[in-house]
Amino acid sequence: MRPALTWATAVVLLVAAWLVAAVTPDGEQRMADPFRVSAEIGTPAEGRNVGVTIRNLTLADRVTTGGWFAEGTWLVVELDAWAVHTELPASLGVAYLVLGDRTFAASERPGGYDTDASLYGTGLRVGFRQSGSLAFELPEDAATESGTLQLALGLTSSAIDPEPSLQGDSVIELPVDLATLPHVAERALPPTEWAAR
Amino acid sequence: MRRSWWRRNAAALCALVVLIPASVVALDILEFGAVRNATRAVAAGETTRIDGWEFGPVTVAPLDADAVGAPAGSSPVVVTIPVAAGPQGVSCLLPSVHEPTTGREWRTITTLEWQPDPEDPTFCTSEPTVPYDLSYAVLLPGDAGGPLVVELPLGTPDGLIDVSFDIGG
Repeated sequence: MRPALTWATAVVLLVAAWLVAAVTPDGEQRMADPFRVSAEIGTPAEGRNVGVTIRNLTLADRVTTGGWFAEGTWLVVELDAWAVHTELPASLGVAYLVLGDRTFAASERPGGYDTDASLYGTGLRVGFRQSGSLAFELPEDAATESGTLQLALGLTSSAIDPEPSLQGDSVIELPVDLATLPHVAERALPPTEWAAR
Repeated sequence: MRRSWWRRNAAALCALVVLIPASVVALDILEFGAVRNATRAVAAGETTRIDGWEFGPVTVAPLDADAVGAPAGSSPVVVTIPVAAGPQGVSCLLPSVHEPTTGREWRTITTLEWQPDPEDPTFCTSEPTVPYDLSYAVLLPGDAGGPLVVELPLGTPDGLIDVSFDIGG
């Protein structure tokens, strides 16, 4: 190969490599980005293997299930949830409410008292929708803020560190303005049950 | 006189002749992490032997949806895996039902109002010397028409083996 052709090939390859690096958004830092799926109230939203229909959101000063109750500032999210193609595994274990620089995980308290009182960590089924709720226990000053509800498959232990649990898979996202939500004194958490399709 | 391209690159070509077969051999020999053996496919109605254990023939029988508290429009089934136990050292993970045409997968369910025969073990054990059945309920939707495959992962001294039992349509 002639020296001139060798140098020209090297220059072309260097420029091509620079172009690839330039058009790759933020390099490797973005390789594990979640695949965000926007949701609307009452409309089914489906990701890779998780589907939800968020039916309504309510703020409550007290939530109850069976003989258990807890007072505070609660956001109750009523929804249907299902797995799209596999149940191995498909647990609704990632549920965050992001308000500014604060991230709240869904409460494990209702499900700890009665597993039917929460969809948090429930195994989702292919071909069947389960209806139920997720409850977020919030500080009082959060009730006027706005942010984003994030739902994804994973283990409930992911509440320890939100960052890795949102990587590389679908995340259903719903914008939430807590100030505009109905605010009730008490909310009985609905039992988890099979939903009509 | 200018030497031919083959002569000028003789050293590199010799290296390739050595390195390419060496890479193939190395990929074959080296173990990358846990051993996951090739899936063993078992035809409908057939059994398979692994380390002195015999599994099959696997059957899938329908359950009465109303009687077991399954949702409307569902097709709950019982997956039965006959086992003739061998020596210790083999363990079973929970089976799952696959629909290859759609890629859908269902795992076992324990919340239906159905219980396996209390005489049978609920996991692989070499305790009973007589053959026994492993039975699990699986909740399929009404549109799961098949053909279906029951997949049973087995832990053996040689690593994990997925046994795939063809059930037919």
